[in-house]
Amino acid sequence: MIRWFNAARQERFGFRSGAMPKLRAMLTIQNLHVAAGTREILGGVSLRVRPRELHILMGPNGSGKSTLAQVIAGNPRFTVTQGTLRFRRFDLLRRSPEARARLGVFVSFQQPLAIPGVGVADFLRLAIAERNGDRMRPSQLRERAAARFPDVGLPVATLDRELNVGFSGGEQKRMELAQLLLMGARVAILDEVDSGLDIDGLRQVVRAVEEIRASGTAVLFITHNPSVLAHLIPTAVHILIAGAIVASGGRALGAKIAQQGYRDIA
Amino acid sequence: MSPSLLSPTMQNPDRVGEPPVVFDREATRGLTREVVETISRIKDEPTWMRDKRLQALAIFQKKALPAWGADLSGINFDALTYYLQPATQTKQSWRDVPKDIKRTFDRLGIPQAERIFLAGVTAQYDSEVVYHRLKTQLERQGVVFLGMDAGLRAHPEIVRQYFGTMVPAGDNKFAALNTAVWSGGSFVYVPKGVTVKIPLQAYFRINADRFGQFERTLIVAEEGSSVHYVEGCTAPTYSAASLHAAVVEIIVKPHARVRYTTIQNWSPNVYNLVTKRMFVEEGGVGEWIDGNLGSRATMKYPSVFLRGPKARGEILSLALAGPGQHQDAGGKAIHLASETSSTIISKSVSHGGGRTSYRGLVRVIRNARNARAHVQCDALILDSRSRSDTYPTTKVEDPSARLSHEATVARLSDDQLFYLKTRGYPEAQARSLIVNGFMEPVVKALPMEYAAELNRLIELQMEGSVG
Repeated sequence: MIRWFNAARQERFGFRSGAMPKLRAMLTIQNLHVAAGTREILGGVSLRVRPRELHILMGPNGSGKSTLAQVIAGNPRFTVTQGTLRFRRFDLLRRSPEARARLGVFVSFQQPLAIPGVGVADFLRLAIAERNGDRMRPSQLRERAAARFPDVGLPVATLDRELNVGFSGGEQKRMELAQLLLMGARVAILDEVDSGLDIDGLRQVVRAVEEIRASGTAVLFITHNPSVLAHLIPTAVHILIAGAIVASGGRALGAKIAQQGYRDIA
Repeated sequence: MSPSLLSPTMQNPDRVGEPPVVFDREATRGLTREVVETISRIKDEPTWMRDKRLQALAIFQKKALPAWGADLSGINFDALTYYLQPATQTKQSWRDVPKDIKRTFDRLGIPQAERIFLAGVTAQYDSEVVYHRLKTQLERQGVVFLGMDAGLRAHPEIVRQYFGTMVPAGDNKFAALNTAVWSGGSFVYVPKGVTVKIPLQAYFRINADRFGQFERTLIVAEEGSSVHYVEGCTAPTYSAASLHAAVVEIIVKPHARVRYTTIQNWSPNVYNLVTKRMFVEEGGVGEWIDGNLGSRATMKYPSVFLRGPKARGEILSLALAGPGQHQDAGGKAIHLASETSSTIISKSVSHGGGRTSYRGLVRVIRNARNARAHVQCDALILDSRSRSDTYPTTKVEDPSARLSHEATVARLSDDQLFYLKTRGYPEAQARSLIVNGFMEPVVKALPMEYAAELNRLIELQMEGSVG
């Protein structure tokens, strides 16, 4: 399904759907070592995600999945001690979080922050203006948002709520997805957007992922829930344990995890 | 453009070179009996007003500076000028306003703002009302909207009846000072049963070096009437410390409703020490919306005296303190009758080493049955150099009263900032979004053009505070 933002992005980034079979990587992570204070959390992670690819990153709690997402976003709480992180040819480590966002990197948050007093509509309109340079009148934003909110299971009235204030876990995930669909991205890191959602919610996540892939976005999907593999067809599945990718494979690897858990994988 | 809240240097450095104003009468510096008598003589006032001024002067000279609140030691009363009259007298029509003053008004955007929806503009250009106009609609309704000096001339009996009854000269040192040397301000009279649909706007401005400003405003809302009065201030930058000590007195008769909105952005050398008080009679509603953004030090606690059964008072206070600034603001609700209710909401933001204090009083006297009061004060501190304090006082003498108090102090969270950045917001925009959100409950009570200006002002201040 091609939407307005896909068309806009293709024009802006010169990307066309149905392009060459071998595409340059959008996101390249090489030997990434990350510490929080003196504690090492990631010990040499490497990953390469091309346009339209869907990589699923799985692992037990505390393995470093969210840290990876936050480092890609530019969270200053973490220090990269070694390795590289690139968006196409751009060195992301030398760029501010907002500059990364403007390049087209979208990282969803497991626990999005509440911003009291700030309406969802204003937040979206200003973010899109800052991110994409796409200045809309409030009425235009409302129209566009109203067209997309049902796709993620949010009532249109959410536009008038304060951002993430009093949102349930499920509403927070849906809000993150709505932002992705409205803002667009060339690389999307989705950090457990499937957790806490019912089956309808899960279907909406799957459809959103399919849609952005179709538009050329490279997707890294982080989950600890193997059952999501029943609905998504990934390019690759990676298992992260204790800060290192211990196995990579196809859908079958995910199925194995679903059966026996993370033990004996390495 | 609306009356600007931004100080000229923040908006446009070119404005520093605004055309100078010619003053033809200036009282000598310092405050003496002769100065007060001269002011009264120039204004050709009735004897009773001159006597009130002189009594107030005696009180002023006896009273000490408040020992609490902001640091006022920088005020040198002997170096101030207590009366200044622009060469231009009050003009009734826009055509009669001289060019240089028009140019200043143009820069402030007044004519345009007026075109949008202002009912009448009483702009205080130094201590006399220079330009004043009433829309025919107001006159037809019998509503009086004049500068205070003109109000005293046109309606001496009303002024005499109420002047100094809500804020007596003995209330505090600055109320005494104002009573002694007051000049300008607004006089509003709304007859019984009349609803004034458009907000009445006065636009104050001071621009003389070392010049204290002492407006006196009196609003009388007769039974069942309703009016919204709005004042906004901006001051150009100048060097010596300047004093602004205004008094606002409002009487809300039974079942009447008055809302008084102030947004003040004095330049950072001004001491802003204002006494604002409202008497609310049976079933009446009195509301203060009070925004304090600039000045070196502000001490301001708008008060509602709920004097009749079922009277209601509401105070919204908003303060923004940047480098070198102290905003000591809040509100007072005095419940003097049964079934009265009050709400005080205070929102303050401090950044760049600025300091905000909430100071409030809720008092319920004995036999004021079933009074209800709610106080909420929220402070947001943007960096570790800045500070916020809360000084709430409650005196409840009747056991049937129901009081609630909520206070929160929040520091700008790095996590919130980071989240917004990941969505594309640069640092300054992320900060101003958070600050604007924090102030939203107060801002949404403002007239639209003020709300927009306020948001812009916060953005500019946040840009200055980054790094």
